[in-house]
Amino acid sequence: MVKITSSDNQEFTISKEIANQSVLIKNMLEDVGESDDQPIPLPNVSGAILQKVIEYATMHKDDPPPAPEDETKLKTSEDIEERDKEFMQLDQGTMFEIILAANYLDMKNLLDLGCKTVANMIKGKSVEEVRKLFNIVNDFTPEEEEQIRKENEWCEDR
Amino acid sequence: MPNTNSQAAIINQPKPQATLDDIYNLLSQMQSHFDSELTQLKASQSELKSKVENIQTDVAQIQRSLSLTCNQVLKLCNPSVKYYTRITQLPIEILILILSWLDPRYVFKYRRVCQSFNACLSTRQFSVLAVPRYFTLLGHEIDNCGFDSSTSTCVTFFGWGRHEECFLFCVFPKQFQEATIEYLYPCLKSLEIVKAEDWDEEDEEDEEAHDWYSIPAIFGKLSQLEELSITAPEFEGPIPAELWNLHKLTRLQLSGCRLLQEFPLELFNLRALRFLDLQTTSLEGNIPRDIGLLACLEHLILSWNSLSGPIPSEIGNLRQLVELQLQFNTLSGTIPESLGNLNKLRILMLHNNRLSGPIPDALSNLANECVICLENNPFIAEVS
Repeated sequence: MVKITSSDNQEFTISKEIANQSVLIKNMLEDVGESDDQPIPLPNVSGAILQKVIEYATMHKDDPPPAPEDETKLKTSEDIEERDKEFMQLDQGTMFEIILAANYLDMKNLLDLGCKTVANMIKGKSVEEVRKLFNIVNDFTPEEEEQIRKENEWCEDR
Repeated sequence: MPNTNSQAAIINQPKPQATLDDIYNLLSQMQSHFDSELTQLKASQSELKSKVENIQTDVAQIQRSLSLTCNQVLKLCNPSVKYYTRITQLPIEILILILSWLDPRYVFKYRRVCQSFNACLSTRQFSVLAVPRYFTLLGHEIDNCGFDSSTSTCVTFFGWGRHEECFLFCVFPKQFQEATIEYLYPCLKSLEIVKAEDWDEEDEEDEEAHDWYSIPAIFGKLSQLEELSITAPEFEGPIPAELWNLHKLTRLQLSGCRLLQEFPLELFNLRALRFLDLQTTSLEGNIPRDIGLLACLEHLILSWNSLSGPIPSEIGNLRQLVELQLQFNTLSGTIPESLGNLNKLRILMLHNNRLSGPIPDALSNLANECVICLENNPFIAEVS
């Protein structure tokens, strides 16, 4: 078993196969060695988010090892397992936190899942709809926006 | 309990009076008791079973709503922790990762969302991620025009307007074009764009009947390129300045492109050129004297243009020249004496110009091995 602590000092005890899904933790364990009983501090991840990340890792602990990169295989943002879709039904804040945690913990699958999920939220929407969805303030001057609109004539209506 | 009663009944029977029949009756009574008991048990068992199943589904439902509530409570649990609740607060690397999953044909419209989206879509990193996904995406749609060419050194396009590259090199942002060049053609040595097999000759006459394309400036990034040949009639000038970076070019052929420009002086930086064909390109103005700098030139073809002024005597410095075609221009003045130095020359076409004056004697040195055409020039009348 491996102990990890979150930024807000919550301690979690997880199995090694779960811990190893994070390349960051895996490398730390290899550096530190088996015997050390000290918990691994993860100062960039809060307990609440860590709990979700562990939930994801537990769900995927029995996954077969990833097949060697198949170049011809179509990899699109639509390639998401049903259980992962359900897992990602979160509010935007939590979703972004999980993406950042996955990036920090070096968990490629979770990072891809998060990014694909956000990409799918954007897909098919107009610029105005995207602004509304993510509560984004248009910070261009009218001249700047007009300039981009001109450069973008070829894809504005797509 | 009926069980104990019947057992008691057995015990209370006076022993001598018990006959085999009585015992049999008693036993069958007991059996029917047990039978009914068993049916009752079975019924209650299946009842329990369905109850358990119901409870299990309830539990699953509760678990699901629990995890949903959990998510909602998450933020409330840790009020002190700062959350990245907005997409624009994400580090640019993450935003790049997100946007790289979108189809490049549509994603660039999101440049207009806000500054950080625009910055992100303008990075090289974004294009490097998005280009391979884009071509995997297109892979099955276009398989007959050289997309598997990442390892090959030669590419030929038949026609231009219908190719995905054409669209890409016309409108996509520069970083994306660059990443495309690096991904598709890391070591291209020869690029050829020829007339489509089903090109309609009547379209060629009628300038409005087809689309015109510029020569893509991004070709200047094909740093290994040795041969560039564009003979499809859909191109118009001017030649983009980026092409003058292609220092390894030995062959430059733009015949048929509607350049409508003067002889570009930067061309003389391409000192490795051995073959230069700019015929039928509506080239205007003089032939610059710097032409003499292209010392490796073996073929110089400038026919069917609007070139005027004299033939520079510096052409006589091009000692490797095998072929010189200047016919159908409006060149004037005399034929330079220096042409007689070109002892490798096999083809000399100067007909249909406005050349005048004496024909240099030196040309007779070449006459044995060289085809020379001089007719339809003012001086020709006296000679022939």
